[in-house]
Amino acid sequence: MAFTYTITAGDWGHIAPQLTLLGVALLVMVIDTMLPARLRGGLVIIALLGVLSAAASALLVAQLGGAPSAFFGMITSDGLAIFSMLVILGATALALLIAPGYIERQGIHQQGEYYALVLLAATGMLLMSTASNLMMIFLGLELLSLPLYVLCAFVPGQQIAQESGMKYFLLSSFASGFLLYGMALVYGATGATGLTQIHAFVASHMPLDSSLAPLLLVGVVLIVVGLAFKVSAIPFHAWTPDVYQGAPTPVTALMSVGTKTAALVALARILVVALGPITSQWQPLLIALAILTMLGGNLLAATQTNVKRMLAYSSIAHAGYLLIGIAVGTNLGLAAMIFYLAAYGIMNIGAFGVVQVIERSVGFGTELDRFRGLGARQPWLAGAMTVFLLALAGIPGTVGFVAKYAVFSAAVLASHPELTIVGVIASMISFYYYLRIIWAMYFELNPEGDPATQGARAALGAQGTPPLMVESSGQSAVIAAKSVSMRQPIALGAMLSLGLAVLATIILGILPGPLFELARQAVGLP
Amino acid sequence: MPGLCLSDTIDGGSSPHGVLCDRIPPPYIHCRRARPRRAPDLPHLAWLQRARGFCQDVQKGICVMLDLPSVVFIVFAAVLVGSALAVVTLRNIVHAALFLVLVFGAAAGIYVLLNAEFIAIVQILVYAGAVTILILFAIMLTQNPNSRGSNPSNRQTLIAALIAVALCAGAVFAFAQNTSITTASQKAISGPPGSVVGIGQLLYSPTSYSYVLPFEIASVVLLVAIVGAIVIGRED
Repeated sequence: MAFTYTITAGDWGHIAPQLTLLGVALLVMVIDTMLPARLRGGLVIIALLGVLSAAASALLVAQLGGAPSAFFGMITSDGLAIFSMLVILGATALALLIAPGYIERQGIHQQGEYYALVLLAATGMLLMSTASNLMMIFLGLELLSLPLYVLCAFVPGQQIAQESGMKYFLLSSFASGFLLYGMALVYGATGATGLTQIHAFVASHMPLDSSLAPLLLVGVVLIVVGLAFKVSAIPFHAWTPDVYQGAPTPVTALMSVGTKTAALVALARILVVALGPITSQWQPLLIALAILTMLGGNLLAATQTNVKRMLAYSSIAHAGYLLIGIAVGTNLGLAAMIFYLAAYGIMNIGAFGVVQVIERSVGFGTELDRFRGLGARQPWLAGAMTVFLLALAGIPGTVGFVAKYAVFSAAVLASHPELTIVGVIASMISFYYYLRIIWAMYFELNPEGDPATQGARAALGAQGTPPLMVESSGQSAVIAAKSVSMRQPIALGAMLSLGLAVLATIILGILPGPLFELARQAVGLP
Repeated sequence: MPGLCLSDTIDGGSSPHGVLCDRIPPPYIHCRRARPRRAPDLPHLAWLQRARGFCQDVQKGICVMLDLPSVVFIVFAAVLVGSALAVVTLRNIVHAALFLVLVFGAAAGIYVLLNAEFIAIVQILVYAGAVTILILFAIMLTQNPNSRGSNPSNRQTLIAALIAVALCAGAVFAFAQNTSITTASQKAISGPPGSVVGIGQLLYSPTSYSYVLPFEIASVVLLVAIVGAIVIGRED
């Protein structure tokens, strides 16, 4: 083999966003050791600046143009890569903003490691969504997964957090095995790991003969299984609610958006771009996954009473809508998918941002009861949650509606109306549980689960009870009344994050044109 | 990847399979038909001719010829499967861990047969060496190694065995159906040598940076693992 490829400065320029994030992650770790404990909260500012400069360098890469791929075809910087990088960086920024208040309340002392791991996970997501080689996709996946395993178990001394991290680690390693085996088989069938070369090989061997078909198709199925796990599509979703519940909520928010974006873009690159010639072979699999995920996710979410778990199931359901974009196998479907990813990132991180304000200790205190009467206690918080939930449900006037409309119309235009029909039915089911939270916030002002009313009721009904009981219940009523009058404090960063998310949800809901135009350009549509 | 070659395709390198077979010694050869043929004058295929010489004695049907690589392969494969079964069936988990060393060693032997010396050495260094030590340490730290029945098992043995047999049968069937199934991957590995020199040039050579990015990313993954281990292992 002739070794003729030499690295250039342009190659490094192509991965400038990833390099920036990596550098800032290392910087955060180093500065963390030098700062006194009371100043460590400032690390989030460095991390945020790093994310912003990574986004700026991504835009710069897009502006400069040049060769679309770098490092011998390992990395691409096409429109899809730039768009998904911006989605991931935006999600990272929003998730970083809601972190400081949460970290303080949960008693996390290792802030430097927390922010560094978040940035490293984001680096992995960027690498995965820009990879144009199976090897890079796998390495990106590992680089995003490893920090997330640790972050899931980050809250010290909590069994639910340990369970979350362990479960994610074990099941995710298993799924990585599937993915790697699938990649090995695809490499065996085509003799290449580069997506461009795989495309060329498959296109020149159409129709597939019997010597090639089994190896390639089994490989594709295994890759789909491995990535469907990361996307948490049904039937590979079982880990999602437990992991999402036990993880620190800002991490849950990042996972639900960033991992999905990276895995879906990688899946789209493998299926739609590299294996486009055999669309008819993998399409039934994707359609089945999408339908199962949409219906199953929404039905399971409707049975939940813990809002954090409910949002976990809702994220499964949204994975189903997103899979439509790949399943239709067209560029318009891809444009709809990445638009949906941007919209989903905004509204889902917003919803988790409200949940982390309500949450007491990790994974607990997010029951539906805790949302009762929130509209009266904290009207702004409840208003923000209402906007996010309506957007997730897909009410017109929010970005969620536009995103769903884009995906469903792409399905109709690709003559797959069955996906649209199932999607609309699934959305109807989702109205039930989203609206139930809104109902609880505004119309259930006198909840039974509220400690204040319980205490008050106990005090009222205390005439017939022994004196000891009267005394203790009277005390608890006073304490409970205090705790209710004391509203959940919202940290400045969380307020900023929620405000930005609300604005984006509404503005993009009314004026989606420019963003959708960008999404269309990203996949090369005129 | 072992070549699975039909004997009547090995006729002095005129077919693609012949080309492959002279590079990669297959572990065994199928002889569908035994018909007299001019012996190819390729000295490095002498072992193949000997094999065919045996094969010509058989009138009809399939005969499987055994040459040295095949014998070695069968020995390693038998050791591998046998010790793998021991790993999952033995009741004492320390014994199971020690049999794991045999599994890794036998796999390394098969890698040598496939001309992948580098992978074989790495297999022995990393798996037979480091991973086994790690497993033994974990066992020592977490439970009493002298206890009988320390290898955890469950009631799904029967189902697992059935699924394993079905998968194995399916794989054998698929490969038997498509004798040319490994063509493309053989083409792929016939390119750069699987030797240490070839791999080193691919990864580090100043003029061949084609795999430098994955290599660097792998080191970042290791960094994350170290930071993660410190975070998980903290005491507070």
